[in-house]
Amino acid sequence: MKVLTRKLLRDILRSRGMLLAVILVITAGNTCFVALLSSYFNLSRAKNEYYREYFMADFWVELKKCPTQEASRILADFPDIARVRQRIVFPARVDIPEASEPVNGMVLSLPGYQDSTINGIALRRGSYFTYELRNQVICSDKFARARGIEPGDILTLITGGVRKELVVTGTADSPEYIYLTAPGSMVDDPESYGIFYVKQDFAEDLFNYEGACNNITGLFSPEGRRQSEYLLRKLSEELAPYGVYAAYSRKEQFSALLIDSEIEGLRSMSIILPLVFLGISALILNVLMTRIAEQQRTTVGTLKALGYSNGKLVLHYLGFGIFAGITGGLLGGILGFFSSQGLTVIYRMYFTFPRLYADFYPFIFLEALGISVFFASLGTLRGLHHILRLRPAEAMRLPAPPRGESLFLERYASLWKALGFRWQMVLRSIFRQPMRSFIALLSSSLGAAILLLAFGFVDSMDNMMSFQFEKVLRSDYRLTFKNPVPREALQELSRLPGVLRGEPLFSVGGTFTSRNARKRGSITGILPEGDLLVPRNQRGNRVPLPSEGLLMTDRMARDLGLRPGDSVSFLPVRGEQRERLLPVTSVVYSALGLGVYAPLEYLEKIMREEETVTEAALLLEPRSGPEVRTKLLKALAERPEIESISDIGREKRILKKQFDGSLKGTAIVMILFAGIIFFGSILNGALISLEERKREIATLKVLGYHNAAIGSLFFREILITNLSGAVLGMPLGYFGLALLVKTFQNDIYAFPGVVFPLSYLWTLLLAFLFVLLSYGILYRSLCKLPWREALNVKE
Amino acid sequence: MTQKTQFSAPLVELRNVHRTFIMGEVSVPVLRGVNAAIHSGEITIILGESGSGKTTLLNIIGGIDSPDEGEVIVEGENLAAASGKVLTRYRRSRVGFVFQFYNLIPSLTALENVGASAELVEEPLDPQKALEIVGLGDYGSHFPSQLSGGQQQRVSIARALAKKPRLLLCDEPTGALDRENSVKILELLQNLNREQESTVIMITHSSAIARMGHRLLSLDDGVVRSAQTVENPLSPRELPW
Repeated sequence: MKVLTRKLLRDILRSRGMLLAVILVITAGNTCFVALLSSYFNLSRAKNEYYREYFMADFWVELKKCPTQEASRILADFPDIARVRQRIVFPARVDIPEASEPVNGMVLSLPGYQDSTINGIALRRGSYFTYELRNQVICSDKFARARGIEPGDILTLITGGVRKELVVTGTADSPEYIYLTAPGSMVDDPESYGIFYVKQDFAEDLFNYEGACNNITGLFSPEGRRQSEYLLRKLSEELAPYGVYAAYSRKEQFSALLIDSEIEGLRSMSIILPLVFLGISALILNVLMTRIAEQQRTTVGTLKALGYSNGKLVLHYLGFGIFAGITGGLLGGILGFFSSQGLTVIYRMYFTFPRLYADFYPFIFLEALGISVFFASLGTLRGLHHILRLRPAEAMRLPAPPRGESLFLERYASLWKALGFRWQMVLRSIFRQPMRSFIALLSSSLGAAILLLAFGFVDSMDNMMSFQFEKVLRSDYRLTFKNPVPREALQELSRLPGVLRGEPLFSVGGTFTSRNARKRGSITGILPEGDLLVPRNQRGNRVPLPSEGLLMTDRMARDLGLRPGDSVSFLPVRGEQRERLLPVTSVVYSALGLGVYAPLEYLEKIMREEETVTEAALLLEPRSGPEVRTKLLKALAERPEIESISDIGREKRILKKQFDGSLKGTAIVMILFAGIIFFGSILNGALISLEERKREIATLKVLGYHNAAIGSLFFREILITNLSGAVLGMPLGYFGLALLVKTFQNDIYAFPGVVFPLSYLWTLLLAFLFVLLSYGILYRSLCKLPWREALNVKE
Repeated sequence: MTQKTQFSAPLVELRNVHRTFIMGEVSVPVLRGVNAAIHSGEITIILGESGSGKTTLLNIIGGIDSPDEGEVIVEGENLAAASGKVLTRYRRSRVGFVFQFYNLIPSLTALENVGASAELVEEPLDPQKALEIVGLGDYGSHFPSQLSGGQQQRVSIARALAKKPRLLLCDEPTGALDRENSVKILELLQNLNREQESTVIMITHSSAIARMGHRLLSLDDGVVRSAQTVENPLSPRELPW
């Protein structure tokens, strides 16, 4: 082994404490990179394979009713639509006697024989339909497992006003429902919602749709995909006579949208987070190498005098950076791989793929290694460049004494004097090492920013939940009627046992158009004095309904380029299907969905319908126990006019549980990472400072100062720089949260960027805790310092 | 002492060498027009008080510093205008340095310190042999912190020897040593000069040590005041300490 290599290894061993701090930060950065990027590829691959294997559709058109022959005729005029499937889709309720909550689902028709149909199914248990019976059903597998349903069991569905008993032949998944929720909900609740596949001819009979369909899905040709929006619009126009409720592409389909958002989020985070960590590691290494270079100034000069070239010396000292980079890279790669496995387990809980597994990607591993070595080398070279530029004789000479000017604070003599010599030493030390102090400040502000981001994440979810479920959606149940019912029906429902109050809702789906923007959605007519569905602004204040006009969700208004006072064109899918120009009087805030609200009577007026109720919101009496709920649900189950029942309270509970489980876990990991940054930066700076000021410490010891008194000097320095950094980091964290929530904005949900005041306090407290813990380690080193030896140290 | 006529070309020739240091806001002229010649195979002593510029002069001869003005001709090559790469090659192949405070690398053993020098040349002196020459054959595995001052200086000399240099430059090699060790070091250098015909340039502030060289250059305030040949150089044990 070459002599310089041996020197390097021994120097690394001597500096192991300080290098460990750097390696920790590099490891954290690489763990993020490998875990997130691997998960990105795992999810992308699983999704792409699933879509390909089971022919996930490119588009969906939801209709009232269209003869299949007519649909085929119209579709024949679209050569860029490569394949089509016409099917029948209807909501249903599931009669499960022991269930204490409503159980709903969607019935979809499938061909009687298994083939490579669009939006095909992946069988999990049992078999496809057989010829023996018509009334067979294949359930979504998650629902079946949640309800303990096995192939061969009997399932009772209430749909089309009719109770039907169906024989379960099998369970399956579909790429259409990788993430399955009830319409309008965000919650994955397999106990309460399932998909039920029945034979095509059985569906035709059941829903009285012989030779007709109400749902068309299909695949575009490659050329068609390039003009999908245009084709969909044209298709909607052609199918308009058959009552088009909605026409959307894959990127707007709920499950696909959610998966794509998640995948995109992984990709973004796999770049941002590692950059932060690796950037900080480069800064910390810069400080460390500057110190080592100063310490080994004479050695560098001697080696140059012996005849070692700058190139050889650069390579030698680069060894520190390469060692840190490789160690951190390897550890981060391994931890990242195991973390991606953990992430995969979490994803499997929420996303249903036939095959989702965590793979090892050598190229990601190598990339991670390369990036960490690059950043570490950058930090190393930056720290060394000054020394390496010196001539050998200069390097061997003592450096010029550091600047001895007074600080700006010293101009205020009485204030300066009042500080006392301890604070004077601390402040001089901070301001006379501007680069090092800046790096400490930057690291702690980034650490605090990540802490605040983590807390903000949790706060935002809390805010979203309480806003949506305590301020906007205030009912316990929401009923959807198969057909509109008169208001008297609602009065009857309000008199059911346990019901405190019932409010009518009138929803009309359609398309909003403004200048060149177009968006599908619905207007919900509500009572002006209603209390169960309340439009609110971002501050949570109720926005009063106008006598005429619409209240529009801010995201919808923004997408349509509308402001209060503007008008929007609305083409409904029911009743008189002609465009109406409606004024937008106010903008409201909603965390879920793109709601548009209008006074009930006003909506009835413009739709030329009277006393029309399509949904109802029910509020139970306070403290209604499970018995009351079960009784009520039983009563509701006997009403054939009710198509589906949503349990709002249950949605809230499940969302909260999911949130507590995975999102808070994410926040904890982020807090851990922030801690690593704090530790890494503080420890590194403090241990270097200890090394440099050995003689000063020894002098104080000789004078008679105890370790605690000497330690307090270092503690004050660490405290000032790191708490100042933490304070500066808070606006940075808030800004980071604002950027992050932008990636969680789509038509289905909008993550608010909210930080509660207590979170700022928690951030400061945690920063202080990290400072204390780092100081604990520093204090131990201080106590073990061979200070007598230090008195003989020759620089 | 009389001036002896030299007919062979000097190994090193300094012509009007100037060097000024900038220390913070202060500018310090250290060499102010040095003219001197060093001959091959001799021990040349550069004598001067502290601050006379002798270390700077040695550093310039050794290629670890460069003059601001003037010429430094070594074996016909002018080092004054040489690039960093050329100087590095020069130091590697032709110069061995012995420092006042040894400048051993603390994380390397004695043998490894010598090896660090030996690895730089194609045909070095075996590091173990170099240590034996300086009488430390059994101390190869010792770290500098485990050696006395005199031993460390001998390791430093062994390190310089390992490259079989044309020039052995010694910056106050006995400055940090007691008398007994100083004598041993100087005897070693004298033997190297005699047996290996090394050209030794040694700087010192001690007029006693000055009497062991073949040639004496007196440096004062950045200029050579006198250059003399010493007729009968003394052995280190004979020096009037």
